[in-house]
Amino acid sequence: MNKILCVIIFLSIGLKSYSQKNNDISFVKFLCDKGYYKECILEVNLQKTNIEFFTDETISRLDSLNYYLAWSYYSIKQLRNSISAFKKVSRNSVFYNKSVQFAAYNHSHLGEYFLSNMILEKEKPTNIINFQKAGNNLLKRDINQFNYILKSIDTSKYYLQKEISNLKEISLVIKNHKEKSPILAAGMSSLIPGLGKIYAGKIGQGISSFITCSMFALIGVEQYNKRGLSDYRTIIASSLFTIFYIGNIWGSYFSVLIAEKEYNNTINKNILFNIHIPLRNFYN
Amino acid sequence: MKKLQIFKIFILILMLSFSGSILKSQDFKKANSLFNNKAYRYASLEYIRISYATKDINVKANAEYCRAICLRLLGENKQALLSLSQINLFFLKNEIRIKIIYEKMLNFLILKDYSNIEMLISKSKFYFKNKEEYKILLPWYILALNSQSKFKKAQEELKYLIQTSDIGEPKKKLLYKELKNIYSKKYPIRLKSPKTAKLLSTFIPGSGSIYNGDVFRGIMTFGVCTSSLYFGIYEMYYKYYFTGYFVGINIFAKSYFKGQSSIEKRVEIKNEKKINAFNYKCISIMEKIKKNKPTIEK
Repeated sequence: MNKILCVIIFLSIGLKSYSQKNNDISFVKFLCDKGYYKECILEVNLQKTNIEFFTDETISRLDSLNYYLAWSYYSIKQLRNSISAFKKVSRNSVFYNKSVQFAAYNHSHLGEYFLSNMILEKEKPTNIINFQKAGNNLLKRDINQFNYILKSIDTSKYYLQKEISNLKEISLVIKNHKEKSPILAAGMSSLIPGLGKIYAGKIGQGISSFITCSMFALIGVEQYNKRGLSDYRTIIASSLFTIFYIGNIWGSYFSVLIAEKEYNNTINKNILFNIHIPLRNFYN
Repeated sequence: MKKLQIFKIFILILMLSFSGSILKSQDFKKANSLFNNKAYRYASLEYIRISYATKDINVKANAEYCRAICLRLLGENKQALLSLSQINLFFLKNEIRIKIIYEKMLNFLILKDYSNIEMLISKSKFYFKNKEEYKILLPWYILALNSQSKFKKAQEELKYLIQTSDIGEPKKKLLYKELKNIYSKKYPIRLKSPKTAKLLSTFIPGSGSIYNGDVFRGIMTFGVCTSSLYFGIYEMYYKYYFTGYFVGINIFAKSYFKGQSSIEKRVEIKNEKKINAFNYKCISIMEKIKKNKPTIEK
């Protein structure tokens, strides 16, 4: 009788610990929902090391662990780690569709549009996947392909209506945009200092560089008229003028390149924002 | 025979109920050992696990409190305050309640949020009947009062701390003397106002820096301003108008306005340094009263 009692007690303790281990997925979910992402990553990595045998149950558990790991990496903006974890979620999992789309989204956020499209093309072309493909094409500035894919999307869906019209507006903006040439800006700056920067869209910088250049030029002219060419003050003023003049031409060449980059970045941000909203609405 | 069986079943039920508590205490042991080995993130995870598993409010509050310490040591003070604010202080035991208020105050002090510290003190007046019970909170309150330059109140609180301490009378007398020395003047720290510094530097460039205590910097800015102005006027006098205007007066204007724009920030930084130095003096007194030494207790 005593032996049986002892066995029962040990069994009960063991069962309790076993049930705690089984409930751990809900604990991971709790961590993720509460926003304790760094702790969630640690917990998932701990739980992954505990899995020894691969049965159907453990595989499904691994999938959801990977999903939560990826989501917490995504939330603290470690996108590379997030992608690798999202890709480990297997096809049978409940989280599969979501993780595929978010892996693709992370790729396009990092500027790897080709990889993003490659992931999406393996899946069934549903409305939301087509929408993401169209967004990727817009990010690549391939407007014809964007319009072609847009035709296959059912625009009456409530979660896509607004964003599709936004993307169409952005595509029109991209179509009407004319690229500025840096060489033209440099030429303009050589004629009148600062004009190239105004052409690039930076009016304040242009005016200030015009004032500094003309200031040194006027000082140089004054010194030359009154003290002659060989005086050291004339040489200093004129050499300062030449340095500023050449520097200004160089600067206006680069300011056009920078302005173009900034323009592209703002448009990319806008597009990514518009892709992101339906994804969050659809899956939450 | 039947009685014996009932007795055994009773023991079994007791053991089952104890096994849960043993597991919980093991969890706390594990988390504390992680904390002692400075693995704060892992420790925080274990504390979350404890607070997730239990329904006992006091255990939950204790776990959250320990987690807040971990987060503070990791430098995430706002997160620590968030974790502490989830606890309802009303239903807790006094021992845990005071711990939580203590940790909250420390975090607020690090974030320089002094108004919240005063609010917590008024809250603890509501929770605890005697001042003796929340004496442990007073050091942080004194430091906050000093930083707000409310010296009279701070002195009273420090006096109270010395009065109620367990050290002997001769030591107490020494500490009273030290306290008097620190708070002897009308203004123990002479804080400079940023507005007057700016006003001074608008009329005489560099005088604001001298008022702030940076004599060398003040003299330098004054020299640069006057010499460039002199150069500009001199050149203009000899009809070098462009050189005079662009070189002399331009340099003068730049040095003048730059000094003016940065003076307010410099005064504030220096004020903060003075407050910190004064607070260290107060901390040295508090360390001599052993019981009220501001340490992290678990």
